[in-house]
This record gives sequence, C-alpha cells and structure tokens, in this order.
Amino acid sequence: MNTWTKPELLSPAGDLEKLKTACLYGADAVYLSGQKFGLRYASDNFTLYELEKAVKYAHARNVSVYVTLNGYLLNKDIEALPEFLKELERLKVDALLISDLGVFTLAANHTKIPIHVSTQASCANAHHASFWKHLGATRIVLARETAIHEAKQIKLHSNIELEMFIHGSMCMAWSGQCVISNFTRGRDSNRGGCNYACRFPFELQQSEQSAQRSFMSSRDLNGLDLLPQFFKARIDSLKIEGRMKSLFYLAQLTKIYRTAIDSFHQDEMTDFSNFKRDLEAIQNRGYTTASLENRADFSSVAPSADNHTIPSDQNHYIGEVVDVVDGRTLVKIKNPFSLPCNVELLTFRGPNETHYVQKVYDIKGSDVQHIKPNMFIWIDHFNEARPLNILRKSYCAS
Amino acid sequence: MRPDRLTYSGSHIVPPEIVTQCFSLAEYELFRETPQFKPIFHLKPFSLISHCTLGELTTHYFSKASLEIDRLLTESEFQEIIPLLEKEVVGKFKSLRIKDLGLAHFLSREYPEQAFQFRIDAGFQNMASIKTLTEVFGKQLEGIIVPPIFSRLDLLSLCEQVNIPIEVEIFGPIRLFFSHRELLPDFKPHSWVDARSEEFNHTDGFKTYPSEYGTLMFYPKYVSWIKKLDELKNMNVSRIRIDRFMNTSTDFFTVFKDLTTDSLSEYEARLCEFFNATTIEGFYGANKTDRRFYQLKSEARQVRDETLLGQVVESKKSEYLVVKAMSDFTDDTAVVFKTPLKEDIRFNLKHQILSSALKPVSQVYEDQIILLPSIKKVTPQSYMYRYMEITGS
Repeated sequence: MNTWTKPELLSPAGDLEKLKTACLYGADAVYLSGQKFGLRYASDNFTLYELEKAVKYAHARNVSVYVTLNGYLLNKDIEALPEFLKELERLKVDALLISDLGVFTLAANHTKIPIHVSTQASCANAHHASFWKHLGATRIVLARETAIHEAKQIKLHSNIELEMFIHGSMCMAWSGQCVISNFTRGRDSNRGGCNYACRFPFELQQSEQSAQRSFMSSRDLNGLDLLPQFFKARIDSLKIEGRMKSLFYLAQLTKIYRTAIDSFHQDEMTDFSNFKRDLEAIQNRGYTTASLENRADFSSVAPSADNHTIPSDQNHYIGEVVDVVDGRTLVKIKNPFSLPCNVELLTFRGPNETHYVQKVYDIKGSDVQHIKPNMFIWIDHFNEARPLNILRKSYCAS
Repeated sequence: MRPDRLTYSGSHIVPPEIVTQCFSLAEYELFRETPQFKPIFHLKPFSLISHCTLGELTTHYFSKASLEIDRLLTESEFQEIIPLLEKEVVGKFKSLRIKDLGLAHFLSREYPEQAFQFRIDAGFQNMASIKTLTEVFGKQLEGIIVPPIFSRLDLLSLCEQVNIPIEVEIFGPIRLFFSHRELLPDFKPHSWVDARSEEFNHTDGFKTYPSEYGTLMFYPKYVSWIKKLDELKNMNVSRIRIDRFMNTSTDFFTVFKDLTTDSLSEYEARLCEFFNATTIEGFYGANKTDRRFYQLKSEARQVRDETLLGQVVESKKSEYLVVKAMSDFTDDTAVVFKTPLKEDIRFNLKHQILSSALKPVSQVYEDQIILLPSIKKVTPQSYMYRYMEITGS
C-alpha cells in the first residue's frame, strides 16, 4: 500500500436512480442539483423530497452529497436562495458547490454547510484559492486549465482541499466565462441554459485561407494515466463529469475509477491497461488529458462533428437489473439485441460476470425472440446480479 | 427614481468619461491630442488582445491611464507575470483592470495602494456579489466593469446601491468566450478569423481571434448603448467604453477627434461605418435568458413529491402494466394515473398488485417492479400518484 492519501471519487447524480447507481458502483461522494440554482437545467435534478431521500440513501452508505448552486445568479434569482439554503441545512447535505460570490456570501451567512468553490469560478492559482479560503471556503474545484503540477503548488501555498476533474466532457472555454448561448439562443449558459454551441461545425475564413471543422469542440478528458500524479499532488477529490449522461456511462466510469484508485492505492505498480481498454469502450468524443500535464493544444479538439459519440451507447448497453427473484434476473431493456448473445453483468465490485444467453422470457414468463427497448425480460444464469447492475453486450452472434 | 421615467437633467451629474484602448506608446501620443479619450493600455503579457509588450513603456508613468489585465491566470502564468507586474506595473498606472480574483487578492495583500477595477464579465453580476467585492477590497477597488449582458434595471440597482464608479461598454464587439486553448493554429495569429455556422442565422460570422494566450470569440454584431446615453448619465455611470479591437487604425483619433460625451449620440452612424458594424442593444431592455428554460424539461414529470408513487415503464395491451415503484405504498392507497396526454385516470389497487414473480402483494416498496392489470389510456410514461381528495368550500 502506498503512503499517499486516497483521493475521494466524486460521481455525478443527475437523478435519484443515478445517485443510487453511483453509490453502489463505488463513489465516495456524489454531486447533484436541486430544481434551481444549478447549471444543468435539462437534467431531471432533485426536488426537495427527492433530495431528502437521496441524502438518506447516500449517508446510509457513507457517501457524501454535494449540492450544486453553481449558477451565476442575477438579482431576481437570488431572492429565493435563503429559503432553499435552510432546507439544505435541514437535510444535512455535506457541502454546497458554489461559483458566484453573492451566492457564496448568502450561503456563508445563512448556513454552516461547508462550501466548495465550483470550477465555474475559474480558480487556477494559489492566490485565487487563498481568496476563497479567506472567505471561508473549504475546498476549491480547480479550473480545468490547471495542470496537476500547478495544483500541487496551489495546495502547498493555500493549504485548502482541492478537487480536480479526472474524466468527462469539457468546455473549450474557461468554464463559467462563456456566453455564446446567451447571445445566440437567449439562454443563459451560466444559469443552466447552455446549448453546447461549441459542438457545432463552423466554416472558418481568414483572407484566402479557409477550413471547415468543429474547431471549438473539446475532446473528452481522460486522466486515468495521470492517476499517480493526482495521488502525489495530494489532490483530495477526483471528479467525473456528466450529470446528464446515461446510467450506463455513470456505472462504468464509477466502477473503473473506483477500481483504479483502489488498485493504485494498494500497489503503485498497478497496470492501467485494462482500465484504459474499458474507458475506450465508453462513449467519448476522443480523449485528451487537456491541460492536466501542459496547456491543452489543438490536439485536444475533436476534429469533426462525426466522432462525437464513439462508441455509441446503443452498441453495448443492454439494460439494467431491476429485480432478482429465485436466481432469475429481471432486466429493463435499453437497446435492442438479438439472441444468442454474450451478456456481461457489470457487478458493483470485483470481476464482471459473463454468460452466453440463448433464451430470455418476458415478464410473464413467455419466450422472447426479439428484444426491444423498454421491455422487461427475465434472464437466467447470473449469480451476482443485484438491482441497478448494468448489463452490456460482450459479443453477439448476429 | 422610477426606472421607466429616467430623464437627463444634467445639472448635478458628472458626465461619464470615455475610455478606449491604447495599443502602443506611439498611439498614446494621439490620446494627448484627444484628451476626451482616456487610455486603457493593452500590452503583452497582460492583455488578451495586445500588439506590443510592456517593455517600451517601462520608463514612463501613466497617471491617467489604466492597464488591461483581462487574463485568467494559471499558477505558472501567475508566477511568470508577477515579477514583471511588481517591477514595471505597480505604481505606474492609475488603475489596473482585473479579471482574476487571485490577482486582486495578491494586490490587496501586497500593494494596497495600487487601485484596480474589476471585470464582472460572466459572473458576480448580482448586488450580493458586488457588495462583497467592495467590502473585501475596500477603497482599492475603484471601479466595476460591467458587461453588455446587464439589463437596464440591474445596472440601475448597481448604480443606486453601490458607491463605486461603474463602467459600461457603450459601443463595441461583444465577447462571447475566451479559451485557454489555441483553437486555430493553422491560421495567422493576431488576425481575425470569420467563423460561420449553419446553426446560426447570422449573415456575418463570429469574429474569432487567435492570440498567444488562447482564442477569443466575439458576436457578429456590436453592442451599442449610445441611444441610452442619457439614461446612463442619469444613473451616474462613470465611464463609457468604446472598444477598438476590430479596427485598431489610428484614423480613429482623426475621424472622432471632436467626439465627446455630449456629442456621442451624433456619432453612432459614423462609429458603425468606421468599425463596419451593425449593432444590438444586448439585454439592456430586459434579461430574459431564463425564459426558455421550462422547455428543457419533461412536462409530464413536473410534480415529484411524496404523492408520486410510481412510473409505468412497460405495458402489454389488454394484459398488464409494469410499474416501477418510486415510494412505499399499500394496495389500500387511492391512486390516480397521470398520462402523457394529460388525462387523470383513477384506479383501485386493492387485490390488483402482482410482484415481478407474479405473486399477489399488498405492500409495495420503493424501486420494486410490480404488475397491474391493463388500464385503458394508461401507457408507459404515465405516472401514478397518491389520489388526494380535494375538500373544502
């Protein structure tokens, strides 16, 4: 076992089901949003009722819950905030994730909940971190422009908890500093209305020179190879992006990083090649380490709109386990597949379980040949199946 | 003062001064000949759009000029520019125009006599933020630079509630983002690139600028609040800025040598011509950029409280419904299904619930999968709620 402290694994929770999935697949903490004040308006997010259930569920499993209040609020939005803050304190959430100075001030004045400064606040240097610490912040989520070696310096000089993104989609701009959606779609990107204009293809023209590409579309961050550096820099929390991503995405990533962190903590000589292979099979826009080592260059940009989702979830994602009765597994189907098929059960911990499945049954027990989305089917075989396990295709005959 | 009755009396109000960019020492000489314009130096390595380095200015003091430091700084960049800042900047400019809170914190700790203004380009745009800024930095903070995303009402609140000089961009390009990344390495640096997309209806492209510090993008149109000048004066706005990034020709100082705050309204057409710009007012009238948010949500799933018992996740016509329980309940519970077609269908659960193993059950637990008999009009994506009898007069 190495001597470095194991960083927290922080997973996204776009809704209650995703929260449970993240907890079961090994997250140490989850971040989520209420119905207002966050940045992912299109995500289901949590009502207060759901939030209460979420906190109870997570705390029962020693998982911390951080609530994002990281929108840059206007005067008219902020009036409703104190009441919401009181509710969050009552629910005993573990931290608030804030980027706006006014929201920070209100939260500090109205609650005793620890405050983490969101990556939206563009904190990338030690003096910036010290500013927030001076105001009472307990943790900084560093801007994604920060390299790990810089984070180490920031930690050294500001002595505050640091969180960094290790995986997921990225803004090509400094997060929190882009207003494309505001002016082109009338939707405030910094209050939850980002329309992802950076993913669009553009025709570029400068005098006689021209080009056509999605020049602003960032590849996805993949910091797995740099896990040892995160440990050595004593980064306190490693974050996976993606509150709007699927359960499939969330489960796979949480398991991979859980296993990788634990393995490296046990053994510095851990070989990451299997984890890397698994990450390649997860939906991505092409991977980059972005600025984690050096300032991101043009190779961090996805060259065309075509490769935005390779591989697609549809290629692999079968569905999720919803019930286990007498050795049979009831599965909610997400994508069609044909029999026979090698089906892999993504267990919560340890090796996955794969079976060659030739027969399945509908919920009333009748044989099924054509498996369609949203069906509920029974599959035999799986010994380790638990509700919220994910099933994926390993190999299909047809 | 009612915001909709703003009029310019002009008697007790100091007219705002006009600020604009100065890209070199040679250009600074032109500012001396047109003293109505106050210079904002744009110099490497401090300003994102800059054409010369600080070097040639080091022997000068600029008691009336400010220096733009609109970069956000990583730790390495911070360490790189601090020696230069300490040696050649602090004490030599009237004010610094800062975007990075770390830099503001550094100045407040190390150089409390050096005044600075703070840019609130994308955040900190509410009163609570700005009041905190003024409390933390005190008199050292000698101005707030407001972006064109502000509405008239928010600007008015700011001017009324905070006793600090306010600057607005009265005419110029609208910055949409700054990326730390070099997104256009195959294009000539420090030269504008036109970026067009079919996704937008603009006839002109987005003006994009490859700088050594990364990439900037601007909206195809300029913001102009010139028609609002009287209102801005009445609000006591202290500085109005004309941004010259896209035409840095020194002809500006010849063409607009007679332009003053009082005559600015007469120059709007000539400014548009000089900069080849069409203009918008941005969000000055009202900022309704959250108006469309409700469209991003599934309407059928708006109510998610303790009355929500389950979701219909599968059905087989005339045979069964599969329901995923979202709360604990018994078969005594009166329920109503809310369908995607917004119909309410009441149903009696008594003796109707089967477990996934097809056994009758009366108690259901959260996350359990149950079967119910087929119910007319109830389809997948319907939600099952506890039926609440509405009583009273």
